[in-house]
Amino acid sequence: MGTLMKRHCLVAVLVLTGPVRPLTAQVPSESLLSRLRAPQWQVRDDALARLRRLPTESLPAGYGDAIVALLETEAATTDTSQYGEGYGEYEIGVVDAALSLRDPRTLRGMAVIGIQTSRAAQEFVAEQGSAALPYFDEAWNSPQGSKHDVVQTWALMLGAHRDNLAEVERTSIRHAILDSPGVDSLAIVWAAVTAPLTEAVPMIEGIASTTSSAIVRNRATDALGKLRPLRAALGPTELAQKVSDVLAAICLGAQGARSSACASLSTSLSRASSATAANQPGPARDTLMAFAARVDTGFQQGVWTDGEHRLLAANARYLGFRLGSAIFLHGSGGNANPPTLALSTLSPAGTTAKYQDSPALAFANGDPWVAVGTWTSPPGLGSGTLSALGAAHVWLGLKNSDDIGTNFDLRVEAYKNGTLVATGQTLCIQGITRNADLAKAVTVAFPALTATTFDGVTDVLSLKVLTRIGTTPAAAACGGHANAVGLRLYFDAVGRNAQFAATF
Amino acid sequence: MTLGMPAEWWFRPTGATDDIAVPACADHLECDFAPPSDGVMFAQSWVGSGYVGGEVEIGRPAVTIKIDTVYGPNPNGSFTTREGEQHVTLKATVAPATLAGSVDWSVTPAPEAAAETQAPANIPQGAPSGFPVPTPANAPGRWQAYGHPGDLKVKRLGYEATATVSSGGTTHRSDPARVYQDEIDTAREEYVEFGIGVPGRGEFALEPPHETGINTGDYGVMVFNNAFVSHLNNLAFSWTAYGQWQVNSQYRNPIHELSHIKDKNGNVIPGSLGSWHLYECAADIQTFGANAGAQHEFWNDLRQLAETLGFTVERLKQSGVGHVHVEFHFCV
Repeated sequence: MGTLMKRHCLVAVLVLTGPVRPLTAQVPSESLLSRLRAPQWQVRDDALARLRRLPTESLPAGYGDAIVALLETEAATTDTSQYGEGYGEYEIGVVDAALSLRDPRTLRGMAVIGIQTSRAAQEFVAEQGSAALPYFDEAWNSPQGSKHDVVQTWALMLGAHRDNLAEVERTSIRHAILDSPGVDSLAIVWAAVTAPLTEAVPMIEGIASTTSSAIVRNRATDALGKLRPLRAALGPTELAQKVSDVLAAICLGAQGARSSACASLSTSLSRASSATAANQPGPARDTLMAFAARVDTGFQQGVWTDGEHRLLAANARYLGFRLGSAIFLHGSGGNANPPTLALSTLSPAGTTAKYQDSPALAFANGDPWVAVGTWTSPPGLGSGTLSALGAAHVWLGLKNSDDIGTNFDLRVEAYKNGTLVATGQTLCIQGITRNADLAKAVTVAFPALTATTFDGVTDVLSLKVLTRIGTTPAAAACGGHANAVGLRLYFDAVGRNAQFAATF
Repeated sequence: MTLGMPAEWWFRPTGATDDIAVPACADHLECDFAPPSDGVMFAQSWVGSGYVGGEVEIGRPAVTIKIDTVYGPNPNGSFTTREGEQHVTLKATVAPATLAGSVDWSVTPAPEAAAETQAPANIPQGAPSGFPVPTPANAPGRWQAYGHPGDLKVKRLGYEATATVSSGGTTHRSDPARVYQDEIDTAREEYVEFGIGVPGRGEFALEPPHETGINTGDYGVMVFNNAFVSHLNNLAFSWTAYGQWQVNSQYRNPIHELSHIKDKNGNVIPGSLGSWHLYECAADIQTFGANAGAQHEFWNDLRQLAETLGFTVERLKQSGVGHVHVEFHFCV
C-alpha cells in the first residue's frame, strides 16, 4: 500500500513540472531576484514577470544589478534553439526591463540583442554616443548579433544623436554604413531613411535599378521618395558638406593609389566648397564636374567600387546642377561638322563657332524631319531627378546662300539612354542667312516633362536637333522656298554658346 | 376558534374514534388550544331543546420548498474563482415562510462540468444563502489534460444545488438547480488559476477559433484588444504595397500558449505565460518568398517597418524566418 501511494505522488509531481508551469501565489521579492539566476529560462521568466508587476518603490534592493546581469546572461547565450516558442518573448521582457533602467551597464547586452527587438532599444544605445561604439564590434561579429540592426542603430547615431559623437566617429560610422562589405541593401536603404542620409540617394538609386528583389526595389523607391525632397531642401553649402563627408568616409584608412586619389579629390572638393562659399557658382560647378570626371576615371581604373563611384560622382554632379543648370553643346574634331558632338556643363571657351549642317530638305514627300545632329553627354552628366528642361538656345544659318528666303521648323528632342524624355519645336523660323556673323539666335522651348531619374554615373543625356521646311501649325508650308541645301547650326563658342537648361 | 357562546370543547385526533374533552376551554366562548396532532376540533352548547355547535378540521400547513435561482455575480450567472467573482448566490422559496431560516443546502459538482470542480464546504443555512467557489482540484495543472481545443463541458466549473427543509419530522427536498461558468468565464478561469492578469469580460468578443488566424486559442471567444488591432491595421496598410499579409496567430489562451503550440514535427514548443498573445497584444505574421533569401528580405523589411511604427519584435534567431512576431506594449 505504501509503495502504491508513493507512485501516485510521483505521477502528480510529474504533471506539475511538465509544460504547464503553475505560478505560486506569493513569492518574496528577494527570492524572485535569486530566481533570475535559475538555469531554466521559464523560472527566470516567471520571476521577471512578477518583479515587473511590482511598483518601483517595492522593488527589492539589487534589482538593477540583477537585471543588468540577466541581460548579460541572455546576450551570452548562443544556443537557444531548444528553448521553444516563449523564449523570444521572454527575451523581449528582459530587454524591456533593462531598458527601463536606462543604465549604461546594459550597453553590451543592448548592442548584442536589445537592438534587434525595438526602436526604443536602438535609440537608447544610440543616445550613449561614443560609449556605445566599442560594443558594436562584438555585435557585428557575434552569432547573437545582427548586422542589420547595428546598421540601423548607427543610422540613429548619425541622425538625432549625432552630437554625441566626435566628427571622426561620425566619419567612421558613415564609412561603416555606406562602404562596408557585408551590409545588405535593405539595411542601407532603411538606414538612409532613419538617419536620414541624403547623400545615400545615388547609392539607393543604384540599388533600386539593379536589385532583383521586389521588396528591396519597392523599399528603395519608397526611400528615394522620402530622401529626394530632403536633399532638394538642402542648400549648396550643406550639399558640399555632404560630399565632403562622403569623401572622408570613403577615404578612411585609404592606402596607395586610393590614398593619392583621395588627396587629389579632397583638394578639388575644397576648391569647389570655397567657390561655393564665395558665391561663385560657375567655377564651383566646373570644379565639381571635374571632380566627378576624375572619380569616373578612378572607377574605370579600379580605384573605387561601384558604390563609391556613385556616392562621389553622383553627389558631386547633383551639387553641380544645383549651382547651375546650363548644358552646353560641344564638338570636337574640327569646326565644320565635327565628328564628335557632346554635351557638357562647361561653357565654351573658344571664339570660333563650330557648326553642324543638316542634310538637304524638301517640303515634298511629307516634309520629313531630318537630323542636324545629336549631342550626347558622357555617362553620369545628370544626377538626380530631371524635373524640367529649359529652352534650347541655338544659332542658325544656311549651308548655301541660295536658300535665303527659306523658312525652317526646328525641333529638339531630349533623351535618357536613348529613350525620348521630351520634345519641343518652333515653327516657321524666318530670316536665316548664310553669313555666319549674322546667324540667327533661336529658342525652342521644352514642354513640361515627366520626372526622370538620372543616376549620376551611368545614365546618358542626349539632345537631338532636327529640322524641316517651315510649316504652319496646320502643317501647311509657311512660305518661302520648298527646298534647301541644308540648315546650319552654330555652337561651342563664347558668342555661340548653344545650350539648354536641365533642372535636377 | 370561536363559537359565540359558552360551550363544551372536544378534540378528535385524525383516525381516532374517541373524542377528547378539552376542560380548559369549558364554558369559554373561545378556545385557545394546541392540538397534539391533526384532527377535528368541535364545540357545542345546549340551547333550548338541543345542541348547537360546529367543528373545524385542524392540520399542519403543507411544507413546500423550491429553488428560485443559483447564480454567480457575472452575466449569465457565471462566475470565476477570482476574488469578487467567486460568490454563488443560492435562493429558495419555502412555505411556510417560518421555515426559511432552516433551509439546508447541498451543493455538488454538476454533471457536464469539470471533474475537478470542488464542492463548497459549510454553506450557511437559510433560504437565501451562498458560497465562495473553491479553487478546483489540480489547478492549474488540470488545464493540460483537456487538449486542444477541448470540450467546454469538461473545462467549465459547475454546481448542482438542492435545498432541503425539515418539518414535523419530515424532510422536504427541492428539485435541483445548476449553475455553470459560461465560455468567457471558463477562458478567464485559466488566467485566474495560472495567477496572471485576468482580462475583463468586456474585453472578450465572439470569434471562432482557427488553426491560422486572429483566434488560434481553444474557445469561441477571444480577447479583442481594440488598440492593438488598430495599430496592427496600420502596419498591415503600410505593408500592403510591399508584400502579402497573413496573420498566423494573434490571440491564444494561457494553456494554448503553454501546451498546444507544436513545431512542424508535431512536438510541443511550450510558450510563456508572459506572452502578449494572451492579451491579444501580439501577432505572428507569415513571411513569404520564393527562396530563403527572399523570405529573409521579407522578414527584415516587415519587422523593420513594424519597429518604425513602435512595435517590439522577436529576434530572427528566436522567431525564425517563417514569421515575424510583433508586440505593441502600449495596448494594456
